[in-house]
Order: sequence, then structure tokens, then C-alpha cells
Amino acid sequence: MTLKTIKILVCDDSVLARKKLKDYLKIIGCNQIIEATDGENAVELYKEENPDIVFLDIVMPKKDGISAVNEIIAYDPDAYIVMTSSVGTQDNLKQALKAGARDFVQKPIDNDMILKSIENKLKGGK
Amino acid sequence: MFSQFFGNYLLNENLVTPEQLTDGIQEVQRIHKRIGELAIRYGYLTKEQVEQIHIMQTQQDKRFGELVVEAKFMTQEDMEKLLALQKNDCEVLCKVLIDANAISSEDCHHALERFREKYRLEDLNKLSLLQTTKINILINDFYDLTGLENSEVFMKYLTLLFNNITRFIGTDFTPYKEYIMKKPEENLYFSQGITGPFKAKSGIYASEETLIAMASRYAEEDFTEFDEYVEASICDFLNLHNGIFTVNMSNEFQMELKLDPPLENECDLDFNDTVYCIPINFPFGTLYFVIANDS
Repeated sequence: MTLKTIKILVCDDSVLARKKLKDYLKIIGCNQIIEATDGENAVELYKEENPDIVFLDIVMPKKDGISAVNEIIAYDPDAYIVMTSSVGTQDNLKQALKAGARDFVQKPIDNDMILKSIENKLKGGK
Repeated sequence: MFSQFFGNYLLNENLVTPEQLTDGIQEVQRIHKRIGELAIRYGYLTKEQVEQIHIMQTQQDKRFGELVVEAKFMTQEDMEKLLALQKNDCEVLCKVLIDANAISSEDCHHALERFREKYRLEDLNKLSLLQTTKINILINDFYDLTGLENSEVFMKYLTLLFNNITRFIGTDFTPYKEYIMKKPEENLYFSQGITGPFKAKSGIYASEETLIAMASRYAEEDFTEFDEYVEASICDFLNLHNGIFTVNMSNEFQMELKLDPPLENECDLDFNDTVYCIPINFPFGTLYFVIANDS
């Protein structure tokens, strides 16, 4: 798996946040990007597309990010999920990691952190 | 952030017109040397270190100097020396307004003395890491939110709001006194609920043109029409500000709060309750920030 072939699911209810992240992913050479607009949509798309890495917001309509992590991990315990949120409280961090997320990137997103997460996944990080 | 409140003081004293103040505040934003620029100029920090601190500043509610010292890029002693080199922004505003013939030197400096006395800012020239506390005192004196339950928490919310406006929108604003809203504004409204041990409603009212300009600054894009990206930018700002607020409350008071997803153009305010509006005037228009208890 390389930057070019890694399949990435970006889930955020903000069209702007999705665009900014997608633009950056394209710059670093990622071509396989899928977008979800809420937690429910993220779970559906995960099951359909089996992405290699998921960037998942927490505060979202229909289903929040933590609930979505729980469902995705129940479906695929090896899912590689990185939370992206402005609500970086210890409580949320604990809940996300407990649910099975691998990392937490505080918003506004520092692109270096996104690259680091992808590189960790490419190195076979669990 | 003192100059914005000093600007409001000059307006209330009828010493300058709103137009003169808007021009003056814009000029201050243009010429006032930020502490990061000074740190590079005097060789204390590299450009990369300043950028690193700026990124950290967008994610946590701390001042530049605090983060630099925490990151061990500079000692506290050197930071204090550097802060002493930075001109006080009220003095810069005075100079700009005097140079533009908006006010006489005597009137401006007398007004500044009175402003310092009123808000207990006598030693404003000695800028230091304690500046944060002084801003809190100024905002606490300036606004009266006693109509709200947990008004002291709302004051923290408001202080953070000014920090975030400065970080993400700009410093060229003039804050106006709060007022109690009795009915919805005709402008567009964006809102977000805060839930948990502290329940609140937060929102932004503004005209379409003003929101386009605000979104352009926040997203660092050149939006020309009111579209989904503009709407998302306003929601993102609200969500980011409220997110940092929940982090502060969790870190300082172990109070765990949750956020509802932001809403576009849906007014969920109950005007039987006390709803405060805080207008903040930018050269591109006025943003009306709304806060209320969620009963």
C-alpha cells in the first residue's frame, strides 16, 4: 500500500472541512478518497468500501463520531480510525480510544498530523 | 485586544466617528507588529517556530508568549524582554487617529488615561504574560450578563470568543455593549447548542454580505456568493469556538460538556428567556453573537 493506493474515508458534516482535507490529501498524492457526511453515512460507506483509513469527526448529525467508531469496530475490529474534532476533551479522547480509534487530531487540522497518521498506517501501524 | 475596547470608549465619548474608528482599527491591524514578527526580527525565534506556535494557538486557548515558553523556545525572562519591545496597541491606535486628524493628541491621551483608570489598566505599558488576566478583567467590567444563570461561565465563554475572533477572523473590530434581544433578527442565523452540566445556546446573526466576508477570512478563501461553503465556514467557526470552550471547561473545571451539531438558518431561541446579543463591528459589517441559557 502506498499514498497513491491507500483508500481513505473522510467523514465530516462540514462540506468545507471535507474539501480542505480532500485538497490536502490530493496534494500529497492520495487519489482514492471517499466522503461521508455524517456518522450513519460513514458506517454504511465503510461496509461498502472497506477503506484503509478513516478520518472521522465527532460532532455530527444523525450519528455522532463516537457511535460510528463503535459500529465500525464491531464490524471490523482492525479498522484504522483517526478522530478529527475541535472537541478535544480528555473525555472525548478517552471515549474515542476506548471505542477503538487509533489517534485524535485536533481541529483546525494541522496537515502534518494527517500525514503522520497515514504514514503510521502505511508502516503497518495497529 | 485592548485597542478594540479603547476604540469603543472613544466612540461612546463622541471623540471619533464610527468611520474614523473603522479606518483607524484597520490601520492598526496593518502596522501593529505582532509578537511573532518581533521575535523573528530580534532573532529569538525562527519563522518555522513561529508557524508552529501559530498552529498550536488555533487549537488551544493560550497566548503566543505562554506557548513559546511552554515549548521551551524562549525563557520567560526573554519573553518578558520581547513583550516590553512591543508597542501597546492603544498607543498605536492613538497615534493612527492623531495622524489622520481624527482627534487631537491631547484629547486622545486624556481619553486613554481615563480608559485606563476606568478599567484598572494603569500599568498597560508594562505588557507581560499577565496580560490575559487584564483582558478578563476588562471584559468582565465591560459586559453585564447577569440576566443569565451561570453568568460567570458565560463571561469565560465571551472572553474566549474575543480570543477566537482575534485568532480566526481578525483584530480590526470594535466591540459594542450587549443588549437583550426580544425577537429574532431579520438576518441569517447560525446556532449551536451546548449540553451537559452547563446548558447554553450560542449563535451568530449577520447579513449575507457580512457572512460571506467573515467566511472568507475564516476559511482563507475568496468567497463571492452565499453558498454551502460560506454556510459551512460559519458553522465551523461556531463549532471550533464552542469546541475550544468545552476543552477549557474540561481542563479547568473537569466539567464535561457536549455540543449539538451546528444548525443553519434555524432559530431555536426562546425569547421568553433572556437572550443576549453582542454586536461586533468589522469593516465588512456587524456580526451579532447570541448567547442564552438553554432551559
